[in-house]
Amino acid sequence: MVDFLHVLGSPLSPLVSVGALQHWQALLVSSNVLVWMFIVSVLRFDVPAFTMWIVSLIDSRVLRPPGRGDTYWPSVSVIVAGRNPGAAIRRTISSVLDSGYPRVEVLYADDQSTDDSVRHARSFERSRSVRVFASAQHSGKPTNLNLAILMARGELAFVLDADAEIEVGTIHRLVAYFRDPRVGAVSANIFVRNASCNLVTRLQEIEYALNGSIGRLWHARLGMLPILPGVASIFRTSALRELGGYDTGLGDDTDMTIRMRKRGWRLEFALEARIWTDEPETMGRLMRQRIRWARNMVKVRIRKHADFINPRYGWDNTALALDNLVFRVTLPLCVLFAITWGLAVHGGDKPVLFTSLYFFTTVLVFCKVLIANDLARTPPLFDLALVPLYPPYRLLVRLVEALAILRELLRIGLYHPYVPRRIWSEIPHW
Amino acid sequence: MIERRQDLFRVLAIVQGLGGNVLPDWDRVSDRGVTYNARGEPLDDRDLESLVQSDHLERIFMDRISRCPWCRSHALNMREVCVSCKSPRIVAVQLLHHFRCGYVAPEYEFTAESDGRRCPKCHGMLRDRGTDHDAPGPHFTCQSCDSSFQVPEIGAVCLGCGRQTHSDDLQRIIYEDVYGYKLSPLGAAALRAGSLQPKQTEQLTEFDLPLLRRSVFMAFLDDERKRRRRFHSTFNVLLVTTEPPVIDGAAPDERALIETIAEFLTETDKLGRLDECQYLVLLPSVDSKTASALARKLSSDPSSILREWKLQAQVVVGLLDGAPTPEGIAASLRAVLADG
Repeated sequence: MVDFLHVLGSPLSPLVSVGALQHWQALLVSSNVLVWMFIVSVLRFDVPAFTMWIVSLIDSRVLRPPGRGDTYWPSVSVIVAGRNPGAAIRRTISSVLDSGYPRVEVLYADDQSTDDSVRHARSFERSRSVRVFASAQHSGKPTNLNLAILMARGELAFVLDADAEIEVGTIHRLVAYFRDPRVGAVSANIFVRNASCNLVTRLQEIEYALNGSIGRLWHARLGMLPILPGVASIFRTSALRELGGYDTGLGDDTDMTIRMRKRGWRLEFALEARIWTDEPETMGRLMRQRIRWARNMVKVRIRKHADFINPRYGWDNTALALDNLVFRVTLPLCVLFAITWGLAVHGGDKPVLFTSLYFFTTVLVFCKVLIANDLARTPPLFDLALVPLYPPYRLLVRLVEALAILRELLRIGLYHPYVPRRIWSEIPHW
Repeated sequence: MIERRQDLFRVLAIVQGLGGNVLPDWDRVSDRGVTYNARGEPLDDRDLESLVQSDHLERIFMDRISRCPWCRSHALNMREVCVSCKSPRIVAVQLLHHFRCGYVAPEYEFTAESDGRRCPKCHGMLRDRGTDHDAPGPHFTCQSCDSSFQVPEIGAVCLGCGRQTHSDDLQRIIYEDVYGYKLSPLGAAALRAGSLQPKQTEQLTEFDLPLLRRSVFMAFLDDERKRRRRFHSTFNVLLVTTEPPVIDGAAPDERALIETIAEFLTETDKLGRLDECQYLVLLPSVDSKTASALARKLSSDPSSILREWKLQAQVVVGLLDGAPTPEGIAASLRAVLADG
């Protein structure tokens, strides 16, 4: 095999040859920026996942909420805000009503849909567990969530996207965390419903498993959950009301997460509470989504909540803010810079370096997919075949995010139609 | 039985005396909440309904009465109640939405100041509606339990027995339609004949004419429609309209006309009445071409009786497809005639 690779002149040969160790020693001492960035990334993104898995082997309670199997059933108001979800709202509401939770109501706040969404939602009103608020004006998602929060009767408010579906037992698994009075909100585990659509959705399925399921799991168990996703998160209604509901503007879920953390609430992640939602099916839509997320991250985490790094909010929050600054802002920019610089200076004369990084990344992803499948039952093992495509996919996403961060830092193209124009002119632009 | 028929005929005559219509009077002290009066003399609604069953009267929908599911009283007080605690102590409040921070709350939560209102969330000012804030829509607040909602529920309290009926039980409320009544063509014919339809023929035809009563004809028509849906069989319907000739100011006898039309039909065809001077012919297993030929034949027949009555026939089976019920068919045909 080694001879065969040598014959082909393959750049992989140093990895399997007798001189591989010497080669890597040379790389490490060469102070190559890409190598060191790779090592730091492994420590930040991969080591915690492996540690989490080992801990779960020792004590599986780390995967589940305390008090499992008891009859703690606080009333839950499921809050759905939507604009033109169409017939999809029927699946969302049906999934909640069929979820088996005994004390649940659904509040659908319609953001002046131009299709028949309201008619679809109102068809459930006779069930008495569903109420519909049809807004007279297009005001954006945060405002409609606030309307629904105002009307919520449940002790807990479960914010759910209009095109998401929950599984039977999901609400039971989410509410179990609220036995602890320090817990203010719990994030559900998001699965890609249209994963089988094409390669783009398959790769997102892997991404959601690694970053969403496993990433949020270890973050939450360390008390550092960075996001309560707007797709599906459950809150104490009183906590939401104390905060005055969502703030208008972009990145409402990130903003709410930080405000909850600032108030000292503990945030949890329910690995077994599964939510299914459709994700972008084309690369163009996916990139637009990630650009929006990256820009919102800068707006909310870096500008609006710049004081979050202050230790008066607790050292865990300071650590989270630093983590965000280093790994969500600086690292993508460094990757962008390093690749540009590397290609400019070295051109194609470092094939061994790039191929080695790719090889090790692929092996790590392979292992993490196995861990995710073991802990969260996602992604399916069939996706292992796609692991070699995952590193270039993530690299592309990171590069696009880096450019979006750069544009946001330079305040280029601030407006996004997520917020109506008449409201945009009134809100502070962080 | 004879006495009963005479009573009903007398009621029919009273309705004619009232101009062919009898309308309900609202009466809160009566058991039903409604009575029928003919110049001070009460009419029994069971008699009127009996005459409807025999096609001598037709119903005119007037209104709907709600009755208590517990004591059947019509004194039911329906009102909007809170979705949570079912209290009727709810008030409509104006919601405000502050653009700057997204806060949504009842107007009274925003403190009034000299130059506007102050937001309790961000402490910013709300000055111009539409510019810095707006009103998202109608809203209710319960003063008993503080719930907020956009659409209140409906609850009922019986002023007779005092029991409450909430939204869960609203389907138990007894709804009763209130009708007026008008004389039907068969009723007018019965009055001219001096008696109600003879008993031995009243199930199918008008007196001894080869003319099916409308309800009977519509039942046959409905059967044909069902047969077509199930077995894809074909059938056709002709609408025959006439204008009665004026002969020395006297009402013409339509007997000769109906007997003449019947001569054109086979033993499987059915002739029925849609309304005064309007008839329907049901042609089972007859295609459109043959039906059109028969319509032309009827319209252009040189016999004197058909010419005198200015008979016109047209194929109308296509107009019946959208109508779900025999009543719907009759209504749609009448609408066509009114338009035409």
